[in-house]
Amino acid sequence: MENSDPVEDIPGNADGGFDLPRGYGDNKITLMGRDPGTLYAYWEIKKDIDSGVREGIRKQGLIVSKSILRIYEAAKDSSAAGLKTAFDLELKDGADNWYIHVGGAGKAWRVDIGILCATGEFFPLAQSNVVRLPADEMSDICDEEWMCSEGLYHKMSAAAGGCDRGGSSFEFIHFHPRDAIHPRDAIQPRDAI
Amino acid sequence: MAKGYLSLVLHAHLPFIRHPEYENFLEENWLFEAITDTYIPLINVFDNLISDGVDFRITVSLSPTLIDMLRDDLLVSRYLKRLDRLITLAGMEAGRTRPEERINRLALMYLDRFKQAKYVFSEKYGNDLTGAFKKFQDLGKVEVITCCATHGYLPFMDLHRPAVKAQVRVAVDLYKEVFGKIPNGMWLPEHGYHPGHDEILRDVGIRYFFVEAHGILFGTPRPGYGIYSPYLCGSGTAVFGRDMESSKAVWSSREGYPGDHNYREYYRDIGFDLDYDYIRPFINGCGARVNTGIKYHRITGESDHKDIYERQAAMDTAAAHAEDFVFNREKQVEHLSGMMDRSPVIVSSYDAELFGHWWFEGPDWLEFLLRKLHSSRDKVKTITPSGYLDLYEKYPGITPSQSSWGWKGYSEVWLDGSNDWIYRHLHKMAELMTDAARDHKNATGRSRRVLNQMARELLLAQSSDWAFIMKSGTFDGYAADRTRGHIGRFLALHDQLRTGNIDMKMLGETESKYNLFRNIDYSVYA
Repeated sequence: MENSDPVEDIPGNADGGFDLPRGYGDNKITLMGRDPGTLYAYWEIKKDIDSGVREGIRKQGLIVSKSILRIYEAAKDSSAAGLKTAFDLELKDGADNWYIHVGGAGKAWRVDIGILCATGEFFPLAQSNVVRLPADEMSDICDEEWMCSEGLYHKMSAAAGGCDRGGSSFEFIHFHPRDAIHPRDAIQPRDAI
Repeated sequence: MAKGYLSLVLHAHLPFIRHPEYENFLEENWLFEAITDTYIPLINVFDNLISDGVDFRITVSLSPTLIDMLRDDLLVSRYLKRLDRLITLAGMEAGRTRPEERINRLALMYLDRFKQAKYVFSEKYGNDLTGAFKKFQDLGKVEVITCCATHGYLPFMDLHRPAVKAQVRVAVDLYKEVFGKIPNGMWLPEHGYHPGHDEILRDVGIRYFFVEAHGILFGTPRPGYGIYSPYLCGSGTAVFGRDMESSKAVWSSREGYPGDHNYREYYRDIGFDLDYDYIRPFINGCGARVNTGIKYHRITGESDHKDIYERQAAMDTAAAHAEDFVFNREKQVEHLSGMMDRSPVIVSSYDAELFGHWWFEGPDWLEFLLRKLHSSRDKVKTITPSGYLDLYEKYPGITPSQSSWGWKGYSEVWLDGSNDWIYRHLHKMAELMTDAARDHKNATGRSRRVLNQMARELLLAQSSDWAFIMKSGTFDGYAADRTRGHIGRFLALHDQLRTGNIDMKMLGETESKYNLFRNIDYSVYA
């Protein structure tokens, strides 16, 4: 039988063998918006910049307290130019990324990473890009030509399932065809082959 | 004009998986199973309807990676070998099961299906199924659209707009090569929309795209037609919202049709059920049991006990479910008509692979549905998004809200503890690629080949499938390996470009292995 003796599949690393760099020699913090209430930041700080800032702090006679993320927010409909300090997060040693939970759907956000002194002075090491988180409610803005009252909006919204994200509920993970393509195969560990 | 319209959209996509270095590769089976279980049955449905004079409209999104794989000589030859093996197995099953009449009928059904699949794939469509979809499009029945180049999740590329543009432009270029025109629409991967990306679609001639319902409902200004009309973004590109009610009827494992007890059970396959020595030649090359596609049981119920599958009962159920779907759409249209001054359009979109592969009777359901709608066309008529956009002179404007069809409606599936490590690399690659394209304008020779392969590696690393698979926890090792591999090769090639010390052996091997988008032009990033 022509195909009765298939050749062995190769177990283990199918396409790897690459050690990825831990960093790219950059000094930057990048901000991403995950959902209406969550930001994600990752960063890479150059050692010489970090030590230079710390040296400057010491020369000013100040005392380093901790490394922090300083989070800035702008009101929902205002531009990124209106950013104001919202809160700080203390960083654990060695952290290079962080999920930041905010109550800020539709608002613009920015994050600085830096050093906070015992007396409150803040010395930034890097400033992130600005991210506007997605909205999670009806817009207040109406189109004059295509008027839509709140009543009509809610009727149409109810007809659409009231913003139900049915096809994307958690069952998405379990029921997604790409996941279902080989659910049984998935329990065959490659290294057991 | 009908009282209301139904716009069915099937999104067909698989990540680019092609491993010429191995004779057998487990994950390549995803494509082979989808061809036999989904793409060929759907093509058969469309051919049947056309030959019977049934008027229908449907939209099919073919992702560029899928288009490339369907036209790849190596994968096609491997598919045909696999199909031959299945025909052999089904023939053996027809003999083995002869004493058990009910099972034997099923074995013969599979034998017939596999032989038919081979005929359709090879003889009818010349080993290139994209030709079938082109034919349906030319006949005006199927609107074939496409997706981004490698199904990259665009909201997380917005920091580097050239990367978004490249995902779109490379996709459109391939589509033009295969279908001879610019696609009317684009399926944004995972329905991931970020405000402003509609401008990029407009720039390449895309007329419309889709978002999840809340992308419209939370859009600005407030949408007066809900999700039952398209809207025009500031760019002039139209956006349609996905209807949840009709989608859930098919999608939901709890409320949807595919869970009916008469339908075929996916998880009982002879690859697992039969004697190992008997099935060994037909399962994985390494000897691990896998699905063969031959399944003899119906869902039956929640318990492990499964009755034998009865084809006729399953067909009767599929017909009843099609009737139910039509009845509910008619009711939906009636309800919406009271609130709208124009005919509503209901956009029902699904992953194509749901039909046939997971829900075995899905293509039959679709055929019943389209026949039924044809015979009651005054109430609800099928339409393509382009067709609906031609109905009225004006459409309201909107800026859709950032959204996706992932869990909770935003980006959590593609950004959590299981996969967040990839983004610092993907963003850096986009930055390096853009700079390299700008620094090496009009590159020729080896430099050009390096730049083009860098573009392929970046695109492949960006595939949303890898982050999704890492999150889902199945095949996560493969997804992580693939991501690391594309990042690693990209960085190595970038370094070679920078130093001028190009490793021609590595370049040749990489071009040969990851050979998609043969006519890619790296300057798309400039």
